[in-house]
Amino acid sequence: MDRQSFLDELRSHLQVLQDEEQEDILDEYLQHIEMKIKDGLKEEEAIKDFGPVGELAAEILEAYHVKPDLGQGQERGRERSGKSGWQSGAHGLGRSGPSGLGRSGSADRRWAGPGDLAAEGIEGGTAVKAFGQYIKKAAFGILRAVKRTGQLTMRCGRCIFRAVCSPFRRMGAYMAMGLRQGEAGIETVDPSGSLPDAFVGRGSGSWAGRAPGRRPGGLARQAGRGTVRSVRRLAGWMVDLSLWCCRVVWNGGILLLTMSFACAGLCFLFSLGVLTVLLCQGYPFTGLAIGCLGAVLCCTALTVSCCTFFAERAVRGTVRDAGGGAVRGAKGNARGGAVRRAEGNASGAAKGAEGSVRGIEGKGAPEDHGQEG
Amino acid sequence: MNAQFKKGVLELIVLESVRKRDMYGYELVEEVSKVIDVNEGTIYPLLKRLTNEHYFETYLRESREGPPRKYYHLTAAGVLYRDELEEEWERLQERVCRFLKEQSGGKDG
Repeated sequence: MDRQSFLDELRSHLQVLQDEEQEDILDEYLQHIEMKIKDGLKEEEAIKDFGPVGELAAEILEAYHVKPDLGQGQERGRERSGKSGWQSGAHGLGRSGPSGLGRSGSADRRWAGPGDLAAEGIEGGTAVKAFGQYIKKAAFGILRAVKRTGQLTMRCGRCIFRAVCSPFRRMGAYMAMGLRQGEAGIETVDPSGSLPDAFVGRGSGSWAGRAPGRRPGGLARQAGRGTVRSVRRLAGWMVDLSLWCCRVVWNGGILLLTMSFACAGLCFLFSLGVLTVLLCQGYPFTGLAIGCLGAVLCCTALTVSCCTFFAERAVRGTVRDAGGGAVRGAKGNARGGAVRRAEGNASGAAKGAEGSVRGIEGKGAPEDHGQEG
Repeated sequence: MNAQFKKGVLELIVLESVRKRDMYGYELVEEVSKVIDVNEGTIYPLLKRLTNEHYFETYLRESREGPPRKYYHLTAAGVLYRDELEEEWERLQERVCRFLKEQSGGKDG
């Protein structure tokens, strides 16, 4: 064995130690070998005097209060499988025997991390089960998530499909219904009123009540109407959505502007307060205070102005509604009031007339009675 | 010599060797080898352990022949530990010698 291979092998046994410690130990052995070579020994002989590398490493590890088997386990694991450090450590632990598992397992955890699970699994089999269960759970979770995603995708696809196909389906339904009715020669009345008049026999364009041979002319027209209606509805939604988006953006911008002006106004107000106090104490801050006052007023005005802009849309709507309502209410009131008033007046007048008639009659009657009596 | 005897007494020999003067590893191995025939590899782990237990402290000193050498110096704790080991060794030796004498005397008698 040459110098380098000896040092490499020793290093591989001492992996559990810190790098500095490893270097320190290897330097010392290297120095020893060099001195022996200087004394006239061959490299191989110098190395041979150390004895088996495994035993030497075990003694070194014992000096560090590390279980020597751990180092051997690592080496064996690395030699056999060529796996990563933690796997090799686990392999070594597996060979260390049950008695050493507790301590060596904890030492392994210190440097190897996940290796302890595998190590304990190799040793006892329980960790393997736990690991298997964990993998199983994870797989089930993934499957469930995939299934849910698929379901959601299917649902979304179905909704889109329905939205796209509904005009055509409706058209088909109308056509089928029209055909059936036409064949039966029955004039039907759709109680819900959902079907167009032409299909159910209402109106002048109906073919349902006509002779069976003349119907298909209006069918395509009605189907086209249904499609156009759906498209129009869709377009209406789109317009509403775009309007809503515009409104949100506009209101957001106005809100930001309002907030910034309000904040600036508050800052100026605070400054004005401070400056007023200082002014009272005799500091020459009159100009600044007046400037702050102006800024406060300016910010307040801007904030209020922004508020009006912000509320513009809603105010307009409410003004319109309110105006309409008011107008309608006024009209209603006017109408109702006038009518009621007229009715009231009329009834009052009628009552009055009746009363007066009665009075006249009553008055007249005694007179009459008197006259009569 | 019995390996267990050597192992038991090796610590005392190393401590005593370093007490006289500071030594580097190879020098110490040679010094110990004069007393007992020991595997060279076992000295370094012992030195490391004694250093970790603060009985030794190390320092580097330049060498004319090569790279700087690591010298071992016995600390106060090391001196006390060495004295303790010496006492134990003498007591053990005395008892063993006495026992052996008694045994041999009895056989002779």
